Amino acid sequence: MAELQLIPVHTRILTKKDHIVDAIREYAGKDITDRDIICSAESVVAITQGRYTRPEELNVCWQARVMNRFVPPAGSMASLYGMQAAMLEEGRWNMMFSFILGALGKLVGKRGIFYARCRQASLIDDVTGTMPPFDKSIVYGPADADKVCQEIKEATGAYGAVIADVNDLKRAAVLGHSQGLDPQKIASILIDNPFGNASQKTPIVIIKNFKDAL
Amino acid sequence: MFVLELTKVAAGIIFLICLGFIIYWAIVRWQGDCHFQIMKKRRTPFAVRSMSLNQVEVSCTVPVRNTGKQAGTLMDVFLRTYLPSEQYQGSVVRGCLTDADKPRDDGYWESCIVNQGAEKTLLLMIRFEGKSGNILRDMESFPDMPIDIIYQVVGRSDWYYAKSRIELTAEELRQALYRHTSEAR
Repeated sequence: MAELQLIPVHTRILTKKDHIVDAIREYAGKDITDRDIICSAESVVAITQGRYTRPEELNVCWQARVMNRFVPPAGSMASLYGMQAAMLEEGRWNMMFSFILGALGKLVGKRGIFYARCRQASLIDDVTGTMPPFDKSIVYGPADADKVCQEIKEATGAYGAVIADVNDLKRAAVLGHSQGLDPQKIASILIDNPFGNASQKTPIVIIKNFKDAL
Repeated sequence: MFVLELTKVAAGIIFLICLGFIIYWAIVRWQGDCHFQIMKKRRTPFAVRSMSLNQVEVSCTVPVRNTGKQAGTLMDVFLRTYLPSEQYQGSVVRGCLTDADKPRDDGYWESCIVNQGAEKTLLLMIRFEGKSGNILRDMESFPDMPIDIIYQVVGRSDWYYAKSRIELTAEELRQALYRHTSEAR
């Protein structure tokens, strides 16, 4: 039985002028077989979808100003513009209501209510969160993640495709996947961050021989 | 009677809104924000990095410190030299600024988070391209040159640009050139 292997794929900087499916075919097409899983970094998929903005383009509402003052220093929501960007996606009143619910939940020992109701708040990468030239941009989470994965699978002939959010702190989450895959299992395979750091420019990882390892 | 009750309700709502504003501003004041300061007194003297017959590049470092109460992001940092042709025409002056710990040669500032009380060291590089073929002669008439360090900050309040001025004096440049040429001999 062939061994499971993780192969990072080096690309140039992808922009909103690129299409993630075409980029995968261009840089990894020849290495992909029907036994492999294609993993794409979530921020790169979002960038190719044009899902980013700059702080200078945002008009901050009063709800963002108030809520931002109650967020601990670490994380994208600690920035006024990260908060505003999330509000544009989730709705300002929904965010405020969820924030109050989250605070009340914490009082009774239930955590994570806010991020469960406002998914974009946990997916947004604030400025500095992405490599240049997007280090001055706020990058949203990808849109239609499952659909994009299905497109990647069909276009490449791979066994499956996922969009993953992985970091060096041993955190891995699968945000979207093609049909028939177990996202928890893929996340555990990616836990050591095979994407590397941003400057390594490897936003695609092929899990070779995944089908054989089932 | 109805008008009186309505007035009371309106007054109550206005009071609550005002109270909300006061509480918000009290939190903002207590919590504070990031505040960046260029530590000009800790600037190193300009020194020659490289020199040829027709050009010379000098550099210095200066720390920027987050003296505020919150972490902040330095979105962009760059420098601007002020030397109009009315004042000096001996050489073409170009300035470049980078993070001294992660130097780049493309003039691009990679945005970074600076925690409360932490510092970044800025590396300032000034290049003079002579016009006569003898850079030492071209630099003889060099006057004092102001240099602005301009930085864009993002924190818990609206983004802003700020700037701080240092100066490359004729005397400091002369000393840097003298040190370099003495060592070369």
